[in-house]
Amino acid sequence: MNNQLLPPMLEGQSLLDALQILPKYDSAIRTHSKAERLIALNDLYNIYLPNEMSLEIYSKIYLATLRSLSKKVTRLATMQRNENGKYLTLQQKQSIDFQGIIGGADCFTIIGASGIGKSSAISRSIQLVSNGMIELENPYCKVMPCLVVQCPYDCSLRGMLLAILKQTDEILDNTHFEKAVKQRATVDTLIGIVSQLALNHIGLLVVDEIQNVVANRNGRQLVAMLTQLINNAGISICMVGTSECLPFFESVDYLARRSLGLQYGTLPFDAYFENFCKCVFEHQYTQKESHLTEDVLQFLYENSGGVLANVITMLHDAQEIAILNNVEELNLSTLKMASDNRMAMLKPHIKKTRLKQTTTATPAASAKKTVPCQSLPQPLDETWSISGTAFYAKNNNADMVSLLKKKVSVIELPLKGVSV
Amino acid sequence: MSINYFPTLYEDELLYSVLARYHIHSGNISYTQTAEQLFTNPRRTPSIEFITSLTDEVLRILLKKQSMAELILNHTLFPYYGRFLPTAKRKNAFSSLCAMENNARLLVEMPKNASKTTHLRYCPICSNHDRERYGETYWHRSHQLPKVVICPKHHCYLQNSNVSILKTACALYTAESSCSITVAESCSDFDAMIADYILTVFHSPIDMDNATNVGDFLQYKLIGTPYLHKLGCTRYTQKLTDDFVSFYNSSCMQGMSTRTQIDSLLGKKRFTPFDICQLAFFLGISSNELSNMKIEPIDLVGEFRAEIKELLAQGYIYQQIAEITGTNRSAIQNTLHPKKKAEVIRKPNKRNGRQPADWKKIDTETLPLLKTTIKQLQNTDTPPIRITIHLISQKLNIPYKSLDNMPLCKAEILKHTETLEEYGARKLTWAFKKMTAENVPITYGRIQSYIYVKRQRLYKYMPYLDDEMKRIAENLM
Repeated sequence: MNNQLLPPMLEGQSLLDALQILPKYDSAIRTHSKAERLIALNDLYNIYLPNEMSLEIYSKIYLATLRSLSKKVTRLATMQRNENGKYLTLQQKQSIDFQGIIGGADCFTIIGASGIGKSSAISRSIQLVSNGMIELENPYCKVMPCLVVQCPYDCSLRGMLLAILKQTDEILDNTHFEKAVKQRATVDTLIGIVSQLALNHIGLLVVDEIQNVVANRNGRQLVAMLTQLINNAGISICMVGTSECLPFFESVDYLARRSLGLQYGTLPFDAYFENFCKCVFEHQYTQKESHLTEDVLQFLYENSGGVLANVITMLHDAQEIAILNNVEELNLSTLKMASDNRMAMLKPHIKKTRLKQTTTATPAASAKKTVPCQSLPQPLDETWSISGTAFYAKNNNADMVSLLKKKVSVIELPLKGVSV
Repeated sequence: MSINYFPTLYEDELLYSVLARYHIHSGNISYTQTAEQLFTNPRRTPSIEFITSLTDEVLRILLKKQSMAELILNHTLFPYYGRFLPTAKRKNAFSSLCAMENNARLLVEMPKNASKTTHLRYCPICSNHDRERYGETYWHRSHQLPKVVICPKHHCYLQNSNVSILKTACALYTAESSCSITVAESCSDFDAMIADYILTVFHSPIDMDNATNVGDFLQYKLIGTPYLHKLGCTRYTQKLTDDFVSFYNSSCMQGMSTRTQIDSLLGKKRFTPFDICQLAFFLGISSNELSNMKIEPIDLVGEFRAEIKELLAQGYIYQQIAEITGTNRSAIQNTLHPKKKAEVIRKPNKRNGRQPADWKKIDTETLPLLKTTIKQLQNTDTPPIRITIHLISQKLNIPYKSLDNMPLCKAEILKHTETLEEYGARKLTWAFKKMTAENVPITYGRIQSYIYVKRQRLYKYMPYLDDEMKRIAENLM
């Protein structure tokens, strides 16, 4: 494969450094006015720290794009262009099918929970892979290494194809979208046009929010259309979505084949998570400086469910609350306020994961174990409360009554008429 | 609107072909969409043989690796049609093509479609090879030469596609969609030789500054053949025609067949490339010689004299020498002892005693009357009249041929004669000035009430108009 079409593939520390985004932070901001600090606080959303997922996604995207680009200058690509062109010319006069000659490149999925950083990783990888437009010589064509489109909410084929046309036109200064709308092109004609344009001008097509296909009756049609696009354009396609689309792709073998790829869950409580929190915690905009403690770390993990987007939101909102309420300190109480007030609706959806030091498999959800009361966390002794104990018991599947007995005197009374 | 994809130009491909491939490969729904991207005037029918005025975007891509001149020479049929034109016409046609002025067909004087070439053609074997190499086939220039029905590479007959060149529509058709026959039929060796010859000439570089006229060159090449007298004074065209027709009797590519056609060719009135190549091939002129025409000065009389002297020295007598050289005795005598032209003394007519005319006196006496007549004809109030020898002889009631004996009068007439283009320009200038003076709007329709002029001839008058008139004429075109 010709590796001169794309920038050199990065690896190791150089890749990590290239993927990372850390906005500039000057601790002098703490002395500025509230308004300035609140505005600067938005920089938290720009922080991106690459992890193993980022490296895998970069590698996948780079290789898929390269494979697609190398197909565009082959003899088969010329034959496919003629086939697509013939289809476009004749299809308007009579309904005909057209053949895929060039065959598909790569088709894969990136599936993971919402907020774990899939789109950010893809976006950063695309920025590294596509160093602007690529110009091929024989034939002369301008190629966009990666194009990102959203799966329409209603899985409309026409909507999806027009979205691809529109984006392509904006980048390449064409008028295909305008002509297609004006001439009220049918879906079949649009497929022909998009196939031809994709063959000429697109390396990797990224379809985001693919989980929209699940709850829609047009979902299978949309995936089938993407399959046809792969066969008639020879481009690579990457489908990005949440885990709710897994049953959809697993249901039929041809769909399962097309959805081979990367799957990610929420982050474990590991060194990366700790490092991430440390990095974000350093960007403080409150007047008083605070340090990341173990309980804050654990609180962050428990209340974010291992989702980095939630961590950012919590730290951002906690600082915002601290600044607005003149607390001016990022601590557990402000974090709790942010979690209770700003993220209340998210709480039922956050998985309660058990905090562990090692990254062994988590216990099966059905098996309930009771934790002996000796495992009460130390800070609970100092700031003990019944609600805190109940919270702890719930999170760790501990016996509430046993825990209470250690602190206060508890008398158990059977209820009359109720069998336990 | 920018062009983001353009196919590669293949070897010996017509420019029309690459534009058609762009139309198919670009993803455009309609021809109009493609035409707006490719041509400055989307409504103009694309030229198959030459070049249609292209947009700057397309030119930028096409001229990345070659100049405009190379594009015209390598990817249009100009090397075929323009090669044997007179130098001025050839240069004019070439510069017009480089400027994409869309009048190439008129400038190269394309012959009438006597060969009945109706469709674009292709070689089935070339098509198969193209598909194996590139994945698609295309229109080869070598297959579109009129009257050449053989593929010079594979020596098989060319096939007609379904793309008509007579009914020129606003459309672009690729060879890939139009070439369906894949089996080829071989031709005879003789036809293959002719096709090879023509193609070699076609692919040779053109010397734009070569001022040798093709008619003169072919006439020069007749020296030493049985078709020209030893002294070059007489051409035996009938014999040439008979032998020529007989030579090409078995060929499937028929060209000239009459004496008039060959006379026109040798008389510098006919420039059909196929006919020229056929005659050159018949006379045994190599393709290299034909591509680089040169006439060496030759003293036929001196050579003949030397030949006669040699034969005399060998002991032959005049009669025998006449038989050997294919001439006659008086020619040999006149060559050896040329007579001086004595002054002819005219004697009075024996029957009626009329004295021979004193042409010198008549010439001197007629000259003032002639000048007055010319001045009257050039009166600016009426539409201009073209001064010719015929017109003056009518006006003065002098026989046309008599003016040959009146050099002063003839010189005066020739001073005022002009070419058709100069005359047309003078008429136009007169009409524009008159209409301006009368405050009449200058439109093509209104001009016809002053002078008769065809719109398609206006471009011929342009070199003879001044800048202001040129601007007006361009608006009319």
